[in-house]
Amino acid sequence: MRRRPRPRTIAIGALIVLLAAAPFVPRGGGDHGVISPSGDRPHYVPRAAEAAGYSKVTPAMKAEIARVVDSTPRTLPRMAAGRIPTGVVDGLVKCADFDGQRYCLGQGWTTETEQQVQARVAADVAPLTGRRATKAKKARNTGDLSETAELKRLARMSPAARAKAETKELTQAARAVAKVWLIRHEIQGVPLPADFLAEHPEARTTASSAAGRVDTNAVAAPAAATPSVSPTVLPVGAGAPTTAAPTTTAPAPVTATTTAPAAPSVPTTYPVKAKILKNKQTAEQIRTYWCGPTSMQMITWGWKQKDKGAAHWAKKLGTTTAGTAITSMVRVVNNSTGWDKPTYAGPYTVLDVKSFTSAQFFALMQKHIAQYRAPVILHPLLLTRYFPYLDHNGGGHFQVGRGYKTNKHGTQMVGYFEPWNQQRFHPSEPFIARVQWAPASRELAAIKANSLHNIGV
Amino acid sequence: MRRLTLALALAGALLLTGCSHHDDQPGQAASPGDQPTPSAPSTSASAPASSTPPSTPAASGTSTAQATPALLDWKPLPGSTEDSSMTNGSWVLTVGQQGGWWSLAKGGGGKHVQAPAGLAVANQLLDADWAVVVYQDPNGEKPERAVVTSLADGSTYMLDKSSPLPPSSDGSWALRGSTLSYATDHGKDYCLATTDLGTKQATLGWCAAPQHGFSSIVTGPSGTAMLTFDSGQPSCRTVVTVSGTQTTPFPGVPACKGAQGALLPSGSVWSVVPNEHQYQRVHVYATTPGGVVDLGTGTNSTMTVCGDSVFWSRDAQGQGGPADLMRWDGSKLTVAYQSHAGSAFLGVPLCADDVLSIFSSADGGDEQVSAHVS
Repeated sequence: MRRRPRPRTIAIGALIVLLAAAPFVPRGGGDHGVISPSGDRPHYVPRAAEAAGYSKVTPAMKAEIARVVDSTPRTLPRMAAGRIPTGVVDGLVKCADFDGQRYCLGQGWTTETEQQVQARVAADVAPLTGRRATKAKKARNTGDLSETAELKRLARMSPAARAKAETKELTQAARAVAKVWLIRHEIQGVPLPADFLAEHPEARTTASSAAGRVDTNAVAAPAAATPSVSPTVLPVGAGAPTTAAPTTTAPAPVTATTTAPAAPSVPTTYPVKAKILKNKQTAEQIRTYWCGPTSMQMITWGWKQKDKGAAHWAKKLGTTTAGTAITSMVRVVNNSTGWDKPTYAGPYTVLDVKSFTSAQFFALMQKHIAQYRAPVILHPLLLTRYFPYLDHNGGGHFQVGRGYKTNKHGTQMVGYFEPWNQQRFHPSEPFIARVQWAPASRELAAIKANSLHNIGV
Repeated sequence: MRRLTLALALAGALLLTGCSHHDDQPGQAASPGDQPTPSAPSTSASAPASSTPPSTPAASGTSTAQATPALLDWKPLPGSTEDSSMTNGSWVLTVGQQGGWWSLAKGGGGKHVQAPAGLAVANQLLDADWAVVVYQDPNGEKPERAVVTSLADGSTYMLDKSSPLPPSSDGSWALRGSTLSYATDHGKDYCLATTDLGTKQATLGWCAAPQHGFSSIVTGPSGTAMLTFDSGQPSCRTVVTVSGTQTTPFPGVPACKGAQGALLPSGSVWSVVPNEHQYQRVHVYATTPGGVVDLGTGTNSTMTVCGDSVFWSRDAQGQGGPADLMRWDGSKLTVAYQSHAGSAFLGVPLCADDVLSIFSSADGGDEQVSAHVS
């Protein structure tokens, strides 16, 4: 008697199909936005694609969250005259290891070690004297929450409230781990762990939709096109992998012990240019520190087709005169829009892009705009060095990433909604339109110049 | 005067502009559920047609200059590339990344002078004999103040609200020789002022009409140019020459599209913003006795006069190419500096006497360098 295929068999079949496609998913780069595997560069057709959905918070993740939260001292060193002691940084800036990826509180998913992050934050919040960089408060505060302000906010909380906030942030991050793994894999070339799809069904496609994605007329690309690289993920506190470049070899991989199998491809292309959100659904910030609420106003406007105003979102985001935390930005996108659905971007999370090259950043924008059809929370430092059309420097800032293209000069550009209208607060400066395009290299450099160097994806 | 109530009203109207849909699903036309916009060559799909001027502002008599390499002898500037440094060949004036401190010393380094509480360094200016550091209230509520340092004897004084023509709370600055140009509030007017740093004699210049302003002051041996604008959205921007209390628009510049201007003995150089949604990119032209010359693209707000030439930055043409510092000496277009290759861009060139300083960023590394231009 012939047995009907069991769901497990179907799932394994889907897994095989997806793994077969894995070597040829986009890496970004040149060719006017055309994504193809490195090597032979055959011409491919686009495929539909979805983001990973919310991951299940496993018992191991819960234990890791509890470990991190419990490690927070109940009593933090006293802060005097605005100085933030190292003990406060070490007590509040902590990292969790979720399935081989590292998430640090207030910082996002990163390839830095916990010690590296703590050292960096300690340097960023140190008093001015003897420090090469200066505090964001010196520049125009256009609205992001600086590390200093975030630490002060956390330090003022009661231990119970702080534990609750940390648990909430870490849980939200853990639920995005499959998406982060796919970004690491597709954009940065990190091989997926061998058991990734078995462990993360939210990253699988269904058998039927997987079949639908395969263009059987497409050229089967040569096998073994995937560069064999070691992952950059390490256990918390392990030695430092400094970059996620495909050629990097990490000294102590945890879970990613094999490369994704090479197989006939389902290659992908992106349009040469793409954009989402309507130009008219834009607004300028009406308070100097409201870039977060105003960016959220535009992001939600694009989803709900209804403008609720920045004040509404300032309340949701917990915005103060010190600004808005990027962790709040991703939380509100997840809670108040459908951009986090698997059919769009999946759960929004905070991603450190310090290790990203311009090509990788552009590939991420392509993926987010053309595949996910969802906006990116850009988080630059608003310096004239990167945005020379501004009359003066600003501080940490939010913009809404909503497009990409390669112009006729061959320059890769990102499109964004700019909430900052310098003329509103400084009438001696000319008006600049809310809808802007700028070279991807400048945008990435501005994001890296921000001491947090992260974005919301 | 310059408090642009019109701008606020327009901004308020913009904020009230909403959509009547109440759907919580993105299924409406042109909603997020739509497929990405198909490709269209060269122009931004987001740009309204009216915002794109003709690619050649001067309909006739326009020629195109071809740039040739003529790289200057660039030397690394001391200090971190995260900070902004400039030199006159001897003194180095450095400002911390976000304006928290500055230093001035021969050969670089020197003691960090912290910006006063609540203020940040907004401008750095250097010439053969003077250094000027401008403090600004980031919220634009307090008047700016400038620390003036004589390089001859190290003495300093403050140009502030006690000065005959005090700086405004916000505005453009320029230094050439011992003449400092800046914005001042004169009664209810917003005006251009100059102060001779040696004699401290201040002179009131042109004053903007109500609901108008000015920025991008560019001074050179042949005079001063700047950008004037109104409170429109977008602003109607006009590049002008300043002479005493009068301004004269640059001839041939498309109406309301101006970005920057500079004057040379042989003519003028000016730029326009072809697309308001790519405000960073400008197209640069020169007006010469022989007509208008197309100098190609550039980066907005990077034009400066140094020595006998006008310089401006140009981002990498293509993802793998270098960024260029362009030079127009009145008759020929050259590339004075080229960055490392790969995702490259340049900062704003800073001129001190006849020495140019420039920051560049590229995949191959960031650097901050300087060179004599003559």
